[in-house]
Amino acid sequence: MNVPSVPSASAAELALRSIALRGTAVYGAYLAASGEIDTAIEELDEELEALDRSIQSATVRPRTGEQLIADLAATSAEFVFVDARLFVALDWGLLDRRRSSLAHAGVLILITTFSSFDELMQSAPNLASWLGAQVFAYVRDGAGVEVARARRLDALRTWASKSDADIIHAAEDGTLPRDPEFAEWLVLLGRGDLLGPRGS
Amino acid sequence: MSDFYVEIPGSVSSRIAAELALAPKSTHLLIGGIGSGKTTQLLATQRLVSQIHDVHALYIDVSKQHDIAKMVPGVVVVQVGMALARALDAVPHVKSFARRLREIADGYFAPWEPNYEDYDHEPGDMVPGILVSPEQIAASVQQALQPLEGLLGVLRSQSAHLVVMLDGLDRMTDMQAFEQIVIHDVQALAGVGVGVVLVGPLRALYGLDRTVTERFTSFHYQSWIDVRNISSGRMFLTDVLRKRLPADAFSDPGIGEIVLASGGVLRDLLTLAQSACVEAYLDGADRVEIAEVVAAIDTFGRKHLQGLRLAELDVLQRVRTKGSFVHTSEDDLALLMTRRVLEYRDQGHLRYAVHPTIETLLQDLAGK
Repeated sequence: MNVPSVPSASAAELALRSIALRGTAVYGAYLAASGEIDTAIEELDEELEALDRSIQSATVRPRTGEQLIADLAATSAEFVFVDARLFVALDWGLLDRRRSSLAHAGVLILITTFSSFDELMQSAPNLASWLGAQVFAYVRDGAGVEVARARRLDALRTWASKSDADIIHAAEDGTLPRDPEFAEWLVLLGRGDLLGPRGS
Repeated sequence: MSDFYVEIPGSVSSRIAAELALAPKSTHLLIGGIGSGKTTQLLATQRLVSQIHDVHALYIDVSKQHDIAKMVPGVVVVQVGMALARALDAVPHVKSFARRLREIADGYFAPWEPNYEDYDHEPGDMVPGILVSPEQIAASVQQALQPLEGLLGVLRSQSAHLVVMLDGLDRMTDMQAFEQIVIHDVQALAGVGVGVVLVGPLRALYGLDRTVTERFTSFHYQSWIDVRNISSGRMFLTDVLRKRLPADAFSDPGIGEIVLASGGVLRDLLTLAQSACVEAYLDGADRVEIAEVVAAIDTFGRKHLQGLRLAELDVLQRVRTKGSFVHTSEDDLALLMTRRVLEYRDQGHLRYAVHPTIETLLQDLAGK
């Protein structure tokens, strides 16, 4: 009897979700195989930057829970990605007890393996309660990514009552408004190249 | 206190504050599940107690300055002293007490005085012995108590009473260490006339550990709210959401669904609402409707099931289908602590249920 897995999300979708949570103190987790964690963090960072170049993000790679507390105290980045693949029950237990020291004004995502996350869920009930519904499994590519991209593009078309062609045309003409949604739209269409001084 | 605070009728904070108004030197143990709003109640108590004439109230998160896995008697007393020193910072004569407390907290180098008549004892690093006598424990509490009493003398020229709200100890897992703190620190604070409200671990409520509750003047339980059976509970949580959300952000059915799915756990209510807002953003929807709420519930529930073992799933299925839950082991207690199983107390009557976000997933897992 296997428990249902957490939903999958591409780095692009998680970046979008993170942007939506901007301005709040939020904790999430992104689960991947150990060998994919570096790629997941790299993609997440890239996607976030593509959505908003002004975003301040930091990646920390602590070896222990104690080190994470010190690393967090030393960063003021709005988005913090924590490579937590080395964390075991002992680390999660310590972070659970010292939950107050993890307070961070922004979005903090723990990127770790499925087994390490299982240990978190067993050893750190307080920390787990902070994660709420922000836990996703990394997918490199494929249907999940496409579905998320199409879902967001649909939302943007409805929001602006415009087509993709309208947006590309406006960006080429330099008449595209500077709202971040339009920049996001171009990125999702694969036309981030139009985000120059004219179109950004 | 935040503008978002909504007073729950007959709240724990108002009960504790009323008791402290009559007996400012009394001690109170507050216990509740994770996410039930204990810290909110503690802060509300501080606000209410501060309004009482001649009472000074302090909130202290004990876990912020000390790893609570390494609790020893004296840790709480010294933190109370340091917090009081910070509160009285502008008052003369406080600095020496504050310095002494800092020394006790962080350690210090004692001045070395060479003994020229006995050269056999060269100065060196002190190697602590392995025996800790009961007298030594009492001495360490007394050591921390002395500067605190000095500070209390200073305080009493302004306010007759001090009441401290001690947060963070609910995360302690070692119940013997917790009991030591209660026996030594809480009793010492009570002995010098300091009122105490302490948030304790949920496990103090069960089995042999329950005796610790009797060491306090009063014991208070912050229950999860039975949203399925108590309409006033549903109304309270609806008010909490409406106070925090822009008008029209959620449809009425959306709010109703989130309130039910929260299982009456305040923290889960707020995180579910937040996640539903993200889903609406991704959908480009103007307001959160049922579809977004359902997506948020599913994501929450899947996360909530991770890390469970087969035996625990069996227990959850039994709670789901029969509502019966007998916690006899640490694993059973863990199901309560992690909010997979929710316990509702209404006038002495107990009801158990699985967290509503995992109910359908468990049903699918069982194939019925």
